[in-house]
Amino acid sequence: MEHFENVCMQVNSCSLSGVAAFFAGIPKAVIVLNSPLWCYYNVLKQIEIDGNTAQQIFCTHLDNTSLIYGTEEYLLETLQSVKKECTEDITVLCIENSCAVTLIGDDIAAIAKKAGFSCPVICLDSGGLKGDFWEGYQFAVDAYFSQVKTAGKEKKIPRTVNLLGCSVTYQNYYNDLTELKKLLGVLGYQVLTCPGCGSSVEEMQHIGQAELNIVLHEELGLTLAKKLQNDYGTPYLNRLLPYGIAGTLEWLQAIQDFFVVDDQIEFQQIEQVATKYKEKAEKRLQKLRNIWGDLNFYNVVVSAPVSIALPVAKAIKEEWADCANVYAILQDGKMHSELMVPGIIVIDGKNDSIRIQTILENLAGGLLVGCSNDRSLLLQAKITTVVCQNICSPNYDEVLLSESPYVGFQGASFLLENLWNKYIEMKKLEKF
Amino acid sequence: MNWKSWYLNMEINKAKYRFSDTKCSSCSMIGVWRAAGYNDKSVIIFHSPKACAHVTRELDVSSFYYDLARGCGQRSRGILLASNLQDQHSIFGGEEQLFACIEYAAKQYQPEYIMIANSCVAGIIGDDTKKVAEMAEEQVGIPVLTVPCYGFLDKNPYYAGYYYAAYALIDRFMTAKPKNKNKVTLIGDISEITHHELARYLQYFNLEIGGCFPSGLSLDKIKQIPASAFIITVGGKVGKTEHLWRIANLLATRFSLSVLQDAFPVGLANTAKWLGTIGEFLDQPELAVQAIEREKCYLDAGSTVFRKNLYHNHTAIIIGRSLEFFNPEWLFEIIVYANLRVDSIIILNVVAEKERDQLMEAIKRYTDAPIYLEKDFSAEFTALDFVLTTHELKKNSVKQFIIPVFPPYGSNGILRSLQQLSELKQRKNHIGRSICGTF
Repeated sequence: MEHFENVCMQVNSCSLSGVAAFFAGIPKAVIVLNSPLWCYYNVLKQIEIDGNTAQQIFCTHLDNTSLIYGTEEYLLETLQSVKKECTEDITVLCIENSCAVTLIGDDIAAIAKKAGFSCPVICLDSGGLKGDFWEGYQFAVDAYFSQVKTAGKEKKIPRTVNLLGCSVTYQNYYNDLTELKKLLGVLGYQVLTCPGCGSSVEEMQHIGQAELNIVLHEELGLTLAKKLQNDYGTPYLNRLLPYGIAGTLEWLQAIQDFFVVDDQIEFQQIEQVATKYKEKAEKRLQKLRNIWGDLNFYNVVVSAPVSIALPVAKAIKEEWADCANVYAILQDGKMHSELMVPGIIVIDGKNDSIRIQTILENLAGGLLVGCSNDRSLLLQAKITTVVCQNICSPNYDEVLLSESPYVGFQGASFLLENLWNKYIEMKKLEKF
Repeated sequence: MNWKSWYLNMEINKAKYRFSDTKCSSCSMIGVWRAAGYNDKSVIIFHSPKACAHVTRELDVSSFYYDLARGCGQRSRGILLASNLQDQHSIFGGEEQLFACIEYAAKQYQPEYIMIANSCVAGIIGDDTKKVAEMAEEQVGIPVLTVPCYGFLDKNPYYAGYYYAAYALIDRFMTAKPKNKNKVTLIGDISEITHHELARYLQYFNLEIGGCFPSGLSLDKIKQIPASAFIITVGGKVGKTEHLWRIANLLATRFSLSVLQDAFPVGLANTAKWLGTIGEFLDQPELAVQAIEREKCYLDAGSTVFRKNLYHNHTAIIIGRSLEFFNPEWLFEIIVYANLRVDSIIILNVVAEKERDQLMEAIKRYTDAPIYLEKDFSAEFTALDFVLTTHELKKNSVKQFIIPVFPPYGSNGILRSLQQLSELKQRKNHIGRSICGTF
């Protein structure tokens, strides 16, 4: 039975954006959208977070004529612009077709060849007919690692890891990545690459040198982890992301367990840091608890991709707040994740918009950790007594300037601090 | 700093986004959604991949917050479905899929009507949407409307989608009604702020707005449109109002309604002209004279501080749009009213060659300032307080006022623009950045 859904309840985008998101995370990569301008605008809107990605993305500006006579002329003209405007060496060129172009069957690889680029050129069909944002990212990963030569099977470097499934389009990705590298560094692990999130083409050539691949966002990185296991024999670890203090310890412990580290001194240091963070929070919150009571919500909704929704929901339920019901709306619809958490009510964000609507309409007095889309739904339903925290895109109503991560010990403090402050503000408004 | 180094410093040749307005830049499905969506009792179906509907929703979310920040944002979110076209439908067609989607919409939401917007994909694979809609309507017993547009494949796709959605609503639901002499219907895609501004003007003539067709109106209100005293087209922008005129004229022809569509209250002269036209139309010119005088006082009183702050400020104008999307009259009215000094005008390369001469001629009617093409400038500059530009420039340190495609309406629109320029001038140099000249 085909599912039809009111998309106003959902957060997703086109695989055109997903493909662009992966390549936008590679230094000096160029993306050419063989598409109408409309699709280009929407990809830019999705991809451009820090205001500097636009220079990487070109568009062939297709019109209806191009669908009759083919897109060759448009594409060649755009590729000439790329050559003219990109004065620095391009490391990889991605040309992706939108859905309309996919249907007319232009051989873009052959057209691109005529333009004579010396860098690797990856051509792929993308667009809505092929899939959504998350699928698009995986198409890009698959195309990249199938078509760009790597160094092959190399000798593993001890205590090294790759971080898979990161995206420059994920909110706070940079701070989170920095924090994770720092935590891993404390335990003596070196991060070799983060494909699609800052690693260069040269760095990714040696992706096979890592002893372990750590999947951060499974909706983006699990497929690559399996491929790398198959191609290079690199095992992978897919665990709940380290949200909350307990979650961080569990994540680090899982890595320690993989490497079978005998020396527990380093981990004890980590545990001591965790205890310090925990004690500091307890002491500082004590006074406020006496005034405002405990952080208490009857209903909690966490709406995000699976890799964020599940661990955040767990941290809220087990560490940050008292709550009766915790719902995790999986925006990417990954209902068969191996990381499911007992006690969390999981909702398919791609196929259950009626239920999402019902849950949001009953959230007064509750907590929403999600994005601006969810918040707009609450406001449009005139539900204003909800503590809200944005944790993923789209984000149009919260500013994020600090270097505070969401993950790790610092992230736990940052999110808990935000939740408390917003809770207190809400309590104050309730009284007046 | 000489002109060349200033120019290079701004990286004017690297306007942030690569686009020209000569190519198709929109989609008819968005036009259909803007015209017929935002109504809890209707369902819009995009006969498209699901992603097209997601993209539309994302635009709505940002637009919701934009309105909210300006004290509006009361519009319903509406119900938007997609028929979820996938790869296999390009071979076997998507008509069955669309039929199933209509059935689902009818069963799940029991809407007053369903409207279908076609994607470029549906157009290319050649689905007969109209036939599917007729068959489905027979089965579900709810009106199922269609538009003859296909994604970006039409000429001016957004406007085509918008017009044909309105056409379908008129054709299907409107019948002649006795006239209500105090109710006016607006035709256009306007913000709540513009709506309030126009309501304020119409009060001078003891008129009230019955509705703004077609966007966001309930079926009951749509059915009442033929009872209007007359119609005013107010949306759109320079050169892009044809679709609104067509809607207005269709209503006029079918229901013997008078239409006011000569001027738009954008800028000083046009606001006065607009009020005058209403006065003449109602045969009450004295009310128009009073209204114009009161608006002038309102504007002068509200703008004193801004004009003082902006007096003789130096600026340059950078234009990357053809006249179809650029209104020099409005811009130069603001410049004259605020007493700004225009040191130079630069036409960006993105303006098509055939349109440059026309653009330069139009600008020369308002100013003696030197005009340069981006590629061959030579003038000298000392210092600028800010630039007025159609394209956001890459360099952050330059204070930029982004010239809106849709200039804000009426006296409050002018005040808003002056306030923004004033704020821009006061902005600390190191912050730079741009300010968008819309409401």
